[in-house]
Amino acid sequence: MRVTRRGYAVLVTAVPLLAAGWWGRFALAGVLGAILLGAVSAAVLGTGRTLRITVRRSVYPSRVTRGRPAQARLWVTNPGSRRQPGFTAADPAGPVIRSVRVRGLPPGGETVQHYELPTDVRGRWTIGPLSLERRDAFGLARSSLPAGETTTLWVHPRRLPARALSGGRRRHHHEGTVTDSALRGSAELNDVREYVPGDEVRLLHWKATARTGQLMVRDLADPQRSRFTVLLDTRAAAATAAGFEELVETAASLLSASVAAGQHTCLLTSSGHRTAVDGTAGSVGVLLDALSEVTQDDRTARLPPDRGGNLVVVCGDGPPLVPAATLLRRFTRIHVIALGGPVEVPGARVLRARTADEAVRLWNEALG
Amino acid sequence: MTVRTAGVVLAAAFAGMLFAPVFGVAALLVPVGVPAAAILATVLACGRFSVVDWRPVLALLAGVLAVVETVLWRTTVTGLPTGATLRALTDGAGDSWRLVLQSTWPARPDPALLLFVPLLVVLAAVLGGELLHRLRSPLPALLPSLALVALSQLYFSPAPGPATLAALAYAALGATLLFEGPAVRVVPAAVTAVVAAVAAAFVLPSGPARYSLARDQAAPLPDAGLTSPLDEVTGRLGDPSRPVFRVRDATDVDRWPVVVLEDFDGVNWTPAGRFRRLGATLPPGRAVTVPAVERTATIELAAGEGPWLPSQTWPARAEGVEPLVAEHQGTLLLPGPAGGVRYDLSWWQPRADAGRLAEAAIDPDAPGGLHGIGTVPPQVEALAGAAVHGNRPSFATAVALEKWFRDNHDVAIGRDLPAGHAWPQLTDFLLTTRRGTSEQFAAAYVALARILGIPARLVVGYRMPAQADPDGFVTVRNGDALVWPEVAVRDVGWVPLDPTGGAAESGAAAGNGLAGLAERARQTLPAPGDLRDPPLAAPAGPAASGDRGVPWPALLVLPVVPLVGWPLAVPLAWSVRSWRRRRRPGPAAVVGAWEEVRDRLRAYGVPVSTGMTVRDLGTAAAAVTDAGTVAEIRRLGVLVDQALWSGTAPADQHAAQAWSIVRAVRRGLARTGRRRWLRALLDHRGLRRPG
Repeated sequence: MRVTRRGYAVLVTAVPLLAAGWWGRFALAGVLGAILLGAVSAAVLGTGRTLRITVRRSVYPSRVTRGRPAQARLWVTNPGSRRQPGFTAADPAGPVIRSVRVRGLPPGGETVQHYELPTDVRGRWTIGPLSLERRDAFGLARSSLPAGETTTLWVHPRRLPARALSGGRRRHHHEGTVTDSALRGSAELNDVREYVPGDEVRLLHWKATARTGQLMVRDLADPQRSRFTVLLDTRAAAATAAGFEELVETAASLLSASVAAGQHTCLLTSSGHRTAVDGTAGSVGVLLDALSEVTQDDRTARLPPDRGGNLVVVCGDGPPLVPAATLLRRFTRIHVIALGGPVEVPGARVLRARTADEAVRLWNEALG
Repeated sequence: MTVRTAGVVLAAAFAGMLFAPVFGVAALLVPVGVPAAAILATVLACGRFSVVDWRPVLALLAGVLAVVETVLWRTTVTGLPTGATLRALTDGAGDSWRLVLQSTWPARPDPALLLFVPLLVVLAAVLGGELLHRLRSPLPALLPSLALVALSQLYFSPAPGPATLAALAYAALGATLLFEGPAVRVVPAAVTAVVAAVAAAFVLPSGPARYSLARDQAAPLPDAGLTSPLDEVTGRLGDPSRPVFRVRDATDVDRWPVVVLEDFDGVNWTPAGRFRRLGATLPPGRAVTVPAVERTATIELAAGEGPWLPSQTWPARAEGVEPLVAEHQGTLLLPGPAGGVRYDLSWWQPRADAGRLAEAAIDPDAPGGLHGIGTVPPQVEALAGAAVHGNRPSFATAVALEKWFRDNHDVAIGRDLPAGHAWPQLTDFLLTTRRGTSEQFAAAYVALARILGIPARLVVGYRMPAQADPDGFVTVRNGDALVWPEVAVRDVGWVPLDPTGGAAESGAAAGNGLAGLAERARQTLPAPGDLRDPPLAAPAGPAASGDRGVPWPALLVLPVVPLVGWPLAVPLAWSVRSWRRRRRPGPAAVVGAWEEVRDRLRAYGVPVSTGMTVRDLGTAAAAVTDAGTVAEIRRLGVLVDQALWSGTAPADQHAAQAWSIVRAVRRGLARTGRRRWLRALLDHRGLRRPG
């Protein structure tokens, strides 16, 4: 229970009024001061009772594309044996606070409240903890109670329909040359590793199991699947906040298209973060989660030691991220999508655009 | 937002109506209400038609225009403002707040006095509305109206009773700005506010406010030096035929006071009171507690007369002139050129009984009655005591002193009239010549009366001639000039006396005027030598201010009565009913015990229907109480069955047993919790019949 700023303002007004009534014998001022004092006292007493409320919250969907609707649902229950008067539930939802008015609940009563979550800004937002607040009728005093656990809402960048770039140089297998003549793909041994529940039993590597004493399983890979890597420019100087969103959206579009084409796909950022997926269904979520959290920073560009396949550099304005010669040695083909600045990269195909839409359109046109 | 806007505008209008003691409610209702309504309509219309940027300008224009149409209509041409309107507006805005302080209250509803109130209401409403719309919090929107409330209190601070009602009303209007949610949530705050307000009304020190803008305010007197009418008396008597004023419709009036003189420094007699503008109406003085009737007469002042206007002791209104008035004296003074004016004067005439007047005490608290009289010659002081045979001050003593003057002094007539009213002339009049005009009679009477402790004052005026003109008017001439003393009598006020014995030429002294009453009282009194001092009475308590008007303190108690009375009345009703049931004869006492248990359970929320048996009730009671209590109720069922159906008269111990079960059930119910017990104790529903 706490007196609000308005309550303090009323108290501050009441003091000179009471003084005028007492000392100056202005009856109306004195009575008015007493009324204000009484109103604040009633507010403090009225909001002093402890709130006994349990709240559950669910967020649907938990991952949402920027600008698409997402909703939170509150189940508010009164577990006590006394009626609980109405209150306001304030839920911090990312950058804003959503308020919901809950009416009074009888003993054992439950009510369900819905409200829209903000999805205007990309990011990983923590929803909650919920703050239950009860105010008196005039907002002079309030009591609050933190309730409910937190939930995470991922606001993914917008994705645009893009073509996937396949091809590129295949990687060499560490056990020898790959079978080039396979008509419908191949399954080369990539690794032998410990069994984890869910692995196919027929892929058990019995020799290794016998040798090590624990279940070992073959990790097969298709050496013919091409690799696709996006290097995202996260330098703070390279783009404005709005421009960076365009960069992220461009990267998200290309990465999604690549995963949809079943390629090994990897997201690199100029600050050194690396997220790689194997192109199976659902793995695009990992990349999008990573893109939700990616922010601009001032760290120097540091390229992870990835190699092979196609590389697309999505960059903003400024000097080149890494020496072009280095990239050319490590990747088969290099595309540069430059948003906002003239970038010349010898040996790479450069697409210049101002927005993500334009960039993806140019990309689609370039791939034919 | 509509409700809040209305709240702000109404709060400003209400603050304006707090000037009602200054102007009267009726005079303020239209000038305050119409501009407030115009501003509210404009602000709401601006919101609807999205002209928010122009809202303050449009609202201000609408408010000022409404003020012009309601207050300054005479300066407009069929409602269109003119240059005169603008001048009246600027003059009124600048001066009216000050002029009204120089007036008696209620003031005349004159635009020159009234204008600042509606203009301030307009300002407070527009400013409050803008603060409401432009700031996030609605609370600052009340500040302009609160400032107006404060200003109204500096003009007039009401008594605690009306002040409490006004404060509650203003707080309710302010609450509409802050209130959110269902209406039932307001109840606790409203109850607390009412209790706090009533408590404050009793606790806060009463009495007049320490500061008031109206205190010590007086209207400026005309620049030209004012001559005292007392100095002119001898001159007027020397030219007796010259008309001074004409009067119509003044029956029962034998004298017309012109000026009241209270201060005497041994040489000059001067008026003591301050002059203020005469407002709409004046009440009779506080000293008058007997009933007073209002009388009206038409007076025509002759050219060249003035600036003093013929008046009465307690003037109420003056139609046709706007004079200054000395409230405690009743003196009227016209600040402008006075000659040739005609006005209707209304005044209050106290109605008293001659017998009571003869026994009345003097009023030592009368303002100006015991002012100084300079250095009194020692022979005169001795003369005063001898004149009334050493009696204590009373009205009878005052009459005895009057009779002493009549018996021992002669009225001078003819050409060689003595003049002067300073101590040398008065000493000469009292001790040597014993001959004088009414000037010396009255001045000497007042001086001796004050020496004796009788509050008295000197009045200069005219006697009322008996002969009326053919047109119904009575012409008062210079020859009617008269000076007389007045003494202050408790409950009646100032009573004129006539030490010369020649004032009542018209015969009006035999009528119902105070002079006539004094004359009749004089006849009922014994000779001065036979007067006996009345026995000393216990000192009178302070005058009961609640004799007249609404008993505000009693009204303030009303909201508290249910709060205090309910917790006492409901348990008392339970106890009385329980006692009566226990006292029933025979089986009825056992049945009474069952009814008692049933009603107690109803108070705890157990649903009871008319067809329920005792066992049914025990089953239903299991929801609210423990098994032991249920078992007790079942035992009571056995006793009820025996009492009703066994056919034998139940033994006395059955009734006692049944009522011990009642006590056990009550203890069992009390164990369910203190809160429920208290609620059941105060629950009145169990007192009603079930079903």
